[in-house]
Amino acid sequence: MTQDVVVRRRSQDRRFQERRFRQRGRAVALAGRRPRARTARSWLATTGRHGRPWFLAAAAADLLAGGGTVGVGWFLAGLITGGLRGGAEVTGQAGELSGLAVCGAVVAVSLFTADRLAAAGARRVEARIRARLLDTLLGADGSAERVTPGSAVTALADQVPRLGEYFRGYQRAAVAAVAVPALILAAAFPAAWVVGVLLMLALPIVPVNMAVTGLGAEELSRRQLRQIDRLSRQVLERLQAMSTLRALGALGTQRRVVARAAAELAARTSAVLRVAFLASTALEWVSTFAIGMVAMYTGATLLGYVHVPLLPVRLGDRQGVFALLLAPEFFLPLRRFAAAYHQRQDAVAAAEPIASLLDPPAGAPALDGATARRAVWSDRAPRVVLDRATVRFGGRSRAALSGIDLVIPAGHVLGVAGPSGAGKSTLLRVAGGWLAPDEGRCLVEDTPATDAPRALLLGQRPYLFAGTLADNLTLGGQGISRTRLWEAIELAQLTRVVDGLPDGLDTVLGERGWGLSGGEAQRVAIARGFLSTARFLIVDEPTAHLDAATENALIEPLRRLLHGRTALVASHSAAVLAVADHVVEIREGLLHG
Amino acid sequence: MVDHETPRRAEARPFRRLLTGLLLAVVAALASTALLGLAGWFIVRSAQSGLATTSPFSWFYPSAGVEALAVVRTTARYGERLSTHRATLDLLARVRTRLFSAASRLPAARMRGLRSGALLDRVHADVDTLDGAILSVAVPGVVCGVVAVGGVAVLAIVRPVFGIAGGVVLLLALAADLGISLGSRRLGERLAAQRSAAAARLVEAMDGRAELASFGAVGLAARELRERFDALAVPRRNLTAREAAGTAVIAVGRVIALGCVLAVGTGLWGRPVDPAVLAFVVLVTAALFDAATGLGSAGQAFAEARVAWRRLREVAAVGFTRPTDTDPDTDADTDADTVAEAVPGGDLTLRDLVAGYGGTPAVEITSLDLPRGTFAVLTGPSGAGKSTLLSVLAGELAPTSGSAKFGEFELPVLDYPRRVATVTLVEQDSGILSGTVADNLRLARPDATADELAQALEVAALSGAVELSTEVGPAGAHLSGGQRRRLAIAQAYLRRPRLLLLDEPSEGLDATTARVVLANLRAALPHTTIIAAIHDRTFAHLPLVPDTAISLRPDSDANFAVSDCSISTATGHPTP
Repeated sequence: MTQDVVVRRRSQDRRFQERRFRQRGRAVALAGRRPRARTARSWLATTGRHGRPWFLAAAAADLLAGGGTVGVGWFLAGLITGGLRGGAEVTGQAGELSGLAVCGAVVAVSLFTADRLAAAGARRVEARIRARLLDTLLGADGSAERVTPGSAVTALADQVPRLGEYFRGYQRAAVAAVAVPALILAAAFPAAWVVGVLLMLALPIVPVNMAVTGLGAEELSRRQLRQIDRLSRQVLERLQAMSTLRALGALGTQRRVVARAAAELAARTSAVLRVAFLASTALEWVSTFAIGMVAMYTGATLLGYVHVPLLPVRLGDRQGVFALLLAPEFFLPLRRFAAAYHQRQDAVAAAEPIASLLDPPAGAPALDGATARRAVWSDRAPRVVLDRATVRFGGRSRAALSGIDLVIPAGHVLGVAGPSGAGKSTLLRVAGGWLAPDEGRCLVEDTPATDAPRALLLGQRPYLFAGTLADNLTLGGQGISRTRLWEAIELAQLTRVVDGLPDGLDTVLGERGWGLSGGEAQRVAIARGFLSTARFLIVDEPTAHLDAATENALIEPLRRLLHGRTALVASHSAAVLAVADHVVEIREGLLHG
Repeated sequence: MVDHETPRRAEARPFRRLLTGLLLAVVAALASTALLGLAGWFIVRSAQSGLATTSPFSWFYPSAGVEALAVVRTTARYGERLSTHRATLDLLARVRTRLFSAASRLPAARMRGLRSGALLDRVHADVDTLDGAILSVAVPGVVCGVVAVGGVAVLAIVRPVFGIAGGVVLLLALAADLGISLGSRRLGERLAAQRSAAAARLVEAMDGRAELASFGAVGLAARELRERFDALAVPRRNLTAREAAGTAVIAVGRVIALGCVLAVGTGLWGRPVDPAVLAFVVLVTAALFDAATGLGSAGQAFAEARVAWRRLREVAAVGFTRPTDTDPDTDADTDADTVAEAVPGGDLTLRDLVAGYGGTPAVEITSLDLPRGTFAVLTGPSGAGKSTLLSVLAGELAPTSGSAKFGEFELPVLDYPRRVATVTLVEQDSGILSGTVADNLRLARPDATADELAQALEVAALSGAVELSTEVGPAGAHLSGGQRRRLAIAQAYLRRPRLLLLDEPSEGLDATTARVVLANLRAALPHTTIIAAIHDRTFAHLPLVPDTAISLRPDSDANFAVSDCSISTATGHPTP
């Protein structure tokens, strides 16, 4: 029955995956790609190298703590047997007591140091992964739909900390799991070799345990991660569309969608935990029995009840107690390693999407930050040529653009008209180099648009960041004087808007430009264009949200902005298209005029 | 199987699981304590018997007892962890859903103010933090309480002074742990605020990355985000340090308690006890502190969970304050959205209506009457109050004063289920969910047949451009602006409202398409009162003949340029 469930879940997963592939077309989702787990493992190993000195130092400190533990056991055994024999002879115990204190201090200090070292190493590795991830995520401008913001939040806020946990625990635990039991065995054999043998007999449980954990845990963790990602995307999408959902009376059904996803996440997390708990329980059982055997052997021998051939008949009191005290310590690093091993399964599952994003396997399309790194076209206006450029989106029968032939001479402004959905935006994305045509090519001067210096985009829905208006205008550009800022504001006819804001240029705006109307946001975007030195512009419906008066007042500044620059301007407005030197019309992906 | 359960049983399930887990936890802890005590006593007694070989002593029963206790402990702990974690996860899933419901009741303006990224972070991280309240506070708290009472009682039976020493030192250690954790609330608070701010910034940057890239500001944004996420390590480290300090305090307490017990037991202070009994006492004392160690991080976990809870309540509490809603979402299992009947409707009558945001009137209408089934166009420049008026009619914005009646029903105070069954508002920036076109249309009418959906596409002049099975991409990214617009109109058509409010329906559409769509709507919904807010400029180019055109003009004495801002004080008056 369980198998049946597993099989059904698999097929559901596959269906989900297929659907996602349909959904994204050629684009690949952050969590959707699944390279071999081996790739993720080797990626983890490579990435971990940046913190290796810290992890090794932590392991060394752990080893020191192991030595201290052996000492604690030895002196404690001496104290106990001494107490049993001599009652209250405190003077004879002074040496044992101070030895105990010193060893105890060594254990405490080295464990503390090991924790700090491992945490410092993990922090370094985490910061490095985060930095690369951010560069890649934000740089991947050509394919805004590839990685959703929800997935990005999951990756940075959830998956990277998981990797940090792994780095903090695993390598250190792996070294300790080998070295500390060896150390304890080395101490146990001279004291009571039978105990040493008993402990060694219990050792095979560790690989068996790891095999059990490894069998199911990785796949389970992966499913859990996928569910976290799915839940976060679903919730973010619904939050952003909330007022529409309310207007449509769809809140009840959408709440059930979220409830189902949340319940599914609980079930998947629970499945991951079950395996982890089972593995640690098995280890606990074995160690309990082994310790019990040691205790029974020690007790019986101390009693003198056991007369098994070959086994020593009597055991020194102190040696016996010492061996007994060491037995639990022998299993402690093994248990810790088992927990860390589970963390590793978790980390491999978390690393897969991140690794495929940062170091895509050969042949897979890379999410590159090329556009971001490219310089802007600023010295001269380029000539742009489209040569039978064709674009198809997945899931749609008709090509979004079919066989577009166009030449835009340097310094010319091309107006693009046409009904909604005819392909205007797609044409602009191809010309700007954000989208590579499936067939044909698009050249800026003689370079493919996707590799050429980038164009400046004035979008349909300009994006305002949380921050001051001045920051939003300069977009972090240094050395823009207030005078130049005010010039651009004047040209974009924002002066009165800025004057009306409570703190003028230093007014803080919220997400999506809270505090400014759509028209004002659009004018901020136009002012940004005035501040830029770019000579190649892509302008997408610049006046879509502006009323007649503001639009008319903007035509002249826009003409001035575009003068001497190469530009593509898409618009429905005759007044805006009048700015262009030449106007073409796109209908159903085909060029007219 | 789960589906056939009664809701009440399902509701109680996590709590039953939690109770089972707590019982098992107590069993495990008691078994563990008994195990340590028995083992200590047994070993020393064995040693004594061995030293004095004449003592008649059976080692079989005690050792079998130790093994049995060990098995009980391990098994109970497995069951405990499984059931408490499952119960916690189920409860958290419930909190997530409730939070989403609460967010769905936020007024539109407030929703826009809350950054969606920050809200998402709350749904995830804050809810996750709540598990600490159960797993790190409640469970170890109960365990520690039971073990402490039982252990101290047993110690006191052996000799009252042992019980007193163990109990007092334990209490002191726990008090010190609590003292350390007091300051962590502020730290937790800071961490949570920083984390959600970072997530919000990340969402913003991801949304705006095409523009960021074109302006070469990607590196800056990445650096800022990196700094924000790296900065989270500082409060995190401090919290960890406090947690370690709390655990250390308990460990010190253990050493002190053991020292006291040993000093008394060996006769350093008072009368010595039998070594076997002493071993029992020492190990029970140790077990007492073992149970307390589980509480070492309780203070931090509790503080963090409290911060998270407060932040979640901020969202939820705001959500509950909406007065005109007869809360469609109080119970996660009801679906009041679709069951309500539309109100009969009739003429739309506005009298002395004043409305605006933040106390500043954006629109003022002295008197306006629209007979049932009128197709009215609301024109005017930006900032004239067109969207504000539509929000009032849709019940999304409470008017400052005046009345807006639809038939006999006062629209602003109509309860949500009936309101949403009667009125549909298509906003300027309508939201779209990933999935197919059909998925999105079914948001409006879940039981619609394929024919009805196809008809809706026909009405919105979309049937040539997309198919029902077309994937729209995340937030409709695969659709053009005009297609998104028409999809929203198709959704509104499927609602078949008595009052249809369209905010800039022609946005992103060319004049011909816009006219076709509006004419289709009119023909398809002949009895519906339709009000379309359209820019002056657009309206001038639209070959459209509405029944009425209402022109909202900013006050003559108000400065036009100021009235162009949405935060302005402009007031609009209808001119007939």
